[in-house]
Amino acid sequence: MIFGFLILFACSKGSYKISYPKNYPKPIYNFKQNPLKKDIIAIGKALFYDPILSADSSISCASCHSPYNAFAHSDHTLSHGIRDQIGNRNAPALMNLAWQKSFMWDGAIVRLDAQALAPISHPKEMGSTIEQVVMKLNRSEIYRKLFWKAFEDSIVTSSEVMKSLAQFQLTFVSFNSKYDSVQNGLAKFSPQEINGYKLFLKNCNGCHKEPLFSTYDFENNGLSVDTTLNDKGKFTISLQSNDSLKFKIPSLRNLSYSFPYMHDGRFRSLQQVLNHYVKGIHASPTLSNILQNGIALTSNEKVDIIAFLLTLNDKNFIFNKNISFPKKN
Amino acid sequence: MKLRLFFAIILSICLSQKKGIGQNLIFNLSFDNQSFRLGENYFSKTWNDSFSISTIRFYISNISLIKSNQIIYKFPKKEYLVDFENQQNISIPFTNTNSYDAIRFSIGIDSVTNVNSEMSDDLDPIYGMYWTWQSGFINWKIEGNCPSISTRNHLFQYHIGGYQFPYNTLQTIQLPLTTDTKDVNLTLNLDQFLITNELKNTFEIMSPGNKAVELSQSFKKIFDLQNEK
Repeated sequence: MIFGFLILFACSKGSYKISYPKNYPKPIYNFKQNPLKKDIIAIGKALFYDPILSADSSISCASCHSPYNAFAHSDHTLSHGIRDQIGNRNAPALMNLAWQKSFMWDGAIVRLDAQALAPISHPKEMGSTIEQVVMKLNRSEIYRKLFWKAFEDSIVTSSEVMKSLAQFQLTFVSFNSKYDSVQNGLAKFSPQEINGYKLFLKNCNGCHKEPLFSTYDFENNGLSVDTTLNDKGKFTISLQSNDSLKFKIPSLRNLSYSFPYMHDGRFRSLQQVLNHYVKGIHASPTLSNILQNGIALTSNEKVDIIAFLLTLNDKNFIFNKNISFPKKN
Repeated sequence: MKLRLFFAIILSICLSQKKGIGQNLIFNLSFDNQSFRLGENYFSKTWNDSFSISTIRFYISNISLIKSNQIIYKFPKKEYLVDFENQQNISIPFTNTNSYDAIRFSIGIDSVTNVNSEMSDDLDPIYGMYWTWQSGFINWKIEGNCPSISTRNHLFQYHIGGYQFPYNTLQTIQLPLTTDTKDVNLTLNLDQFLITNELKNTFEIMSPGNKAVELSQSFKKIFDLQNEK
């Protein structure tokens, strides 16, 4: 950890508190409803990396959300799950979840505590059910011990499983990038990064608002419709025409690790992404107001913006042992 | 069939007597003026075909007893899962000493609970009453079979839910009680369900939307009050 005052600190009775820099807003997750506890986070970690959650015990959360990819799916446009079935979307990176009001590219999930039900029961992801998962966990002596320790409950329940998974994922807080060091007066941007930062604030900050680098709202960013998927984004859930083609705005933190980009992973490089905003905007009725005329950037400006975006990489987060693959005993 | 109902009532009376002043809200299924059982074949004149129902499961919430339009008693829990595949769930005990002239309840889960509740007890997703692919409880489920419909295995499946505007499917019902009775018997009249217009061409509804809202409005009409004699 770089900043002393940011170090996660443990409170009494094994309770836990996530920490974050002063310039971060207050988290919106309701911690009162699911108070963080070390023992519960430990169960969440065990479950997150355990393929026991899938029907044939082949796929874990980490299969598509690898810590080394900022919890996205390494180098896959569309993610694949059980029996190598390919899904419809690119697995999003997982970080700073306590600041997000909805989850999934289309915002289908409005509470983190219920999110895990989606991949567990999706036929192309884990192909299981929460009943099966709870049954399997109740058969496992190791898990029963862990749940007993954390919840003082001799029977594993679905609500405990969901809470544990949510708690572990809430500890995925990224705030140790070069950008953060600069904000805290501990480092300086290069002239190129400064210029990139200025361009970013002028052109990108409306949706990818610092310091989280997203408003976590939904926008249509002018991607042409991939007719092999016909993914309408938020419309799929809300059935409101003004939500058509709108997707959740992703954070720009840890971009170097979480490629490829966009809900369908269509862009492999940041250069491609910027080219899209400069000359690839596809007009449609729900196109974001900000993007009506695209973004005007010269080649040099694009290079500078990318230099700035790379300062959002957080190696401490990517290689944080507390949230990475558990050590094999 | 009547015998079974009889036993259910006797059993609930026995249970309630054990607790002293306890009463029960009892749910019954009826079709063609007879009690109805899951898994058995019946003939529907409306559909002009035989049919069977395998699942009837719903949430009833915010149950209260009313006197002169004022709430005089609230049931102990906010939500109850009623599941006719599980006999235990057709009777909800309550303890009330005041007189009342109506019962008010909602079918489904309100938006606050959808977003904030502890997902345990009757709200445990294990009961298959929570959508996994999006947030939200399924307010009610009816599944069955009818040979003349063209779906796979001739199944009809209605999973009705949705709490967000404009597709809120929570329905509140108030029914007058003519006499002040010990137990409250609520009957689900399946005849009413089968004549619902929305069912004519749609045999699968499994997500929030217009159809779910329409069907939820029809569903509230199937509740009937039978005052215990």
